[in-house]
Amino acid sequence: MEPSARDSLMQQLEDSKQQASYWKKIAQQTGRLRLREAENLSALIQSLKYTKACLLNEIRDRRQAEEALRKNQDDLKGILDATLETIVLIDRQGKVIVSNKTACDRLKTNRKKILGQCIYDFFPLEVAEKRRRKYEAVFASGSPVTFEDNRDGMKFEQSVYPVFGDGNKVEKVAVFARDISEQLRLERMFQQSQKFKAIGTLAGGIAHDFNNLLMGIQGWASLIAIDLEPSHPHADHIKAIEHNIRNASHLTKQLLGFARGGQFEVRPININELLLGSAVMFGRTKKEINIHTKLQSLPLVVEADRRQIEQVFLNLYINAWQAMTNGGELYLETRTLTLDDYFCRLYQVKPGRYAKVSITDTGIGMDESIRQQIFDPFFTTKQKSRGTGLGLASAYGIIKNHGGFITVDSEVGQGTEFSIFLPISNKKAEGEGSTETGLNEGSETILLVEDEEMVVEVGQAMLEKLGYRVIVARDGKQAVDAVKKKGDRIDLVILDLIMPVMGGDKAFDLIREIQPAMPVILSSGYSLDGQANAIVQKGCNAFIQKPFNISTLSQIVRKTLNDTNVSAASGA
Amino acid sequence: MKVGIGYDNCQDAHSAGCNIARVALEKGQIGDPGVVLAFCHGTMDHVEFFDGLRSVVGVDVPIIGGSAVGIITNDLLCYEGCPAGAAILSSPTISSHWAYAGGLDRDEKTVGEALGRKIPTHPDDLLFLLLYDSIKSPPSESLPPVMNASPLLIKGVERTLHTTAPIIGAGVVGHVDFRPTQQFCGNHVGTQEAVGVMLCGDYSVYHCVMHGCTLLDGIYHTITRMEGAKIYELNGQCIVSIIDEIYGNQEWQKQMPLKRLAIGINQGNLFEDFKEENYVNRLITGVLPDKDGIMIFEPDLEVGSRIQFMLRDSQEMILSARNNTEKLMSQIQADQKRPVFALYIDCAGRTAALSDTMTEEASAVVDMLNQYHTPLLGFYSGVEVAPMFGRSTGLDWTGILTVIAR
Repeated sequence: MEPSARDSLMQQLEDSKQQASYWKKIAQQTGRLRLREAENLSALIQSLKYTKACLLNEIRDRRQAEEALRKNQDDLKGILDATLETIVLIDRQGKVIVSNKTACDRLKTNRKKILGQCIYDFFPLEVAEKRRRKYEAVFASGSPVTFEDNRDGMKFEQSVYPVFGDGNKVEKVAVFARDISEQLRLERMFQQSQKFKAIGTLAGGIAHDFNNLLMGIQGWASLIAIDLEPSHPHADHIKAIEHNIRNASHLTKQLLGFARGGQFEVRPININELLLGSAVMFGRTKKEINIHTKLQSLPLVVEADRRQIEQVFLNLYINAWQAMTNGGELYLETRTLTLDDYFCRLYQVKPGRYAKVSITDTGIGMDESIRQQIFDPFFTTKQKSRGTGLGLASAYGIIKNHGGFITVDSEVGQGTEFSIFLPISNKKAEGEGSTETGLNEGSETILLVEDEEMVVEVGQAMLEKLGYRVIVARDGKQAVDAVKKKGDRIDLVILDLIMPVMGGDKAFDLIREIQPAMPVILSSGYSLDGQANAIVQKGCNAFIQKPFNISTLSQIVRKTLNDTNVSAASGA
Repeated sequence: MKVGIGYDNCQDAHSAGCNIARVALEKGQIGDPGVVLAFCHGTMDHVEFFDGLRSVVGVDVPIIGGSAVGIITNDLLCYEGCPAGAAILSSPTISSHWAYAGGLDRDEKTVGEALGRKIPTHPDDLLFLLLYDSIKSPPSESLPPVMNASPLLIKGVERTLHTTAPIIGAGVVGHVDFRPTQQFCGNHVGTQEAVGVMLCGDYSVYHCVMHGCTLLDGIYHTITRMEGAKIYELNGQCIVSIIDEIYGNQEWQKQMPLKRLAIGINQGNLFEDFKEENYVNRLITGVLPDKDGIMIFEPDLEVGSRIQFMLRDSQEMILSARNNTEKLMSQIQADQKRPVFALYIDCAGRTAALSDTMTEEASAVVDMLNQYHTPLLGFYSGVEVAPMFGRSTGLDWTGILTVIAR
């Protein structure tokens, strides 16, 4: 190689070495710069991450706060919506700021539509004006106001409270409106119930005294009738007297029914049978009425006094017949249903299964004012000669006395439906008992305990006519003394309930202390309720309701004596 | 093949196991589970979790898996709390053979050989999934953690398992601070064990490796002194002072492992343009206590090896995940195949928490798989195993996406 060429090559080599070294240095510096940049970037990213974490925390905290606030609002909304009271918050212009669900429902709108709307736009002009005046009074005075008004057939009690803003100025008012229609209805029902109770007590007292009077007349009349030949000119007069006594006695029974004192023979009965039986009997006499029945297929057993319930049905049939002067349709329906707590509270009965008996006519119907009074005693829309005004009152009392209730649904010209609800019994229904007739005589000794002179006289006469020996005691104390002294000679005691010095209740206990097996028949002008029923429960052998005739007396006395003898003979 | 994925994050490991199995069976409409791949966070009671899974799938169904730093599914990605997840596979057309071998901390290669020997081979071998305990010893106050060597384990497996199926898997870790781990070995829970399952059937397996490292400066350095996984000198100069010079300070010595700098070994032509897929990277677990050398994740380098310093580039990492997943799924579609299940084994170092990114790298994979309606189970690992240049290799700071397609 030429020296010059070699030198040139060496120079190129040297240049290339220097160039490589230069580029290596550049690469190293670039790499280190990149690494440091990356490290710096790392610090920046760490800082960004920290900032991001802080922001996320802040967002999370804010979300949590928002969530808590939302939950709080939901809870408040839940509370507002849970109540059946209307709650709205309005400003001075009447614009709705807050409204609960009940308010929306009552105003037939929704929350979206009501908010911002003027509350007065939702009411008829008259109602709106009245409310505006009341609300404005609260804005002006800063004092709450409570008032009542009517809307859409409902009655509301409104309580309006001021909501104060800055400077103690009323900025809004909170309106709480409560539908008190139901409460008023319950109050009315309660008042009616109280009224019926008071009248019932009065009617019961009258019936008692009246029964004692009738007892005297009945007794003497039946004694005369026994001795009188049928051809005697006074025989028809006596019969007329007895007929009138029966009518009077029916009247006192109605009174006692209303007074809820007429229940005296409670047994499990199939109400379907009773309804059908009474309807058939009624249908025979009122051909112009078509009777339709739709009775529950299974026996519908209730514990009731057959005669009283029959009386209720009869009263309702008669009411229907009188409402259908030109004839019509009478629908009888029975079914069972369960009444809940709320429903039962309205009628003051116990919740449970009930038999429902519906008696529906297609008659003239009645308006609200008549419906309100329909069960009031002596209330009648009929001519004086056609009714006493006791039929429905008696039905009401009897059903109440059986632990049930009676409702009426009627419109003028649309007929009337009476619905009777009686508690269902799980017992098996019993058939109707046989009724004996004729006089049953005897020769035993009977202690007659009675304070009413007239009843003593006629009672003694009837018993003696039947062949019995009679000892009379004028009150409970005399009766107890008589049993003490002559107990072994007395075969039976007929004991009045209400007497001076010592009443029948205490006398019964003392007699039984002296003579535990002494047969006792309780006698009363009241029916078998309260005190009388308590004595029967204690083991009194029988009950006889005044006024009674010689035939009834003879049967009850004989049966009691016979039953006692059988028990004694069997060693019971 | 039916696949169901379940996920839970609950301290009660047993109920988490039950719940995950129930959800997976329900989602996959599976009545006869074939094999369960399951992973749970290191803080959880692994035995309880395992029993919870078994109480639902039955004791005859093998459960393969172990500890994981976090779980990735189509719906959730989590490495906080007690994340746990499982995939239940069932198919009359796919079968599985599983085995396990213990004693990794004594000899990785022997364990690999024992494991490979237990797995029968078959012409339609699809994929050999290898999971092993990657922690030989946890870090102490002064010492970086020592890892079980994946190259030795893989070499052992390859020596006895003669299969055409790719070996893909992971060295499992349960905590980012390299605490001891546990493995689900089919029918029991073990430690220092390797467990493998060979899936066979008329399916295709696709996989790709996500990288993210770039050359620091492209300069090759020759290792002049090293021992096992410890490197002391490069070009006759102390490696610690070289790294000090690169950083310009000694702050890096506090990092364990190093967050930015890694070591790359170019498996391709040394002077070709940079191709990330040619590189095997090794994370630097930290400086040695005497400051005379560094420790790397795997002991697979030797004196004379030429290495380059690599920069872990978080943006490149996310880009690589997105691009490689898209490429893989496009390829499956081009082959007119339908993806039925994806498994993503992702290095725990790639989480946003450890790689200084604002977004998760794995979410790029999840988004893409969701576009293809592919059921996914993924977990965060310590070491990843995947084939490179025809041979399976232990990899650091990568994500291995494996998709089974029909």
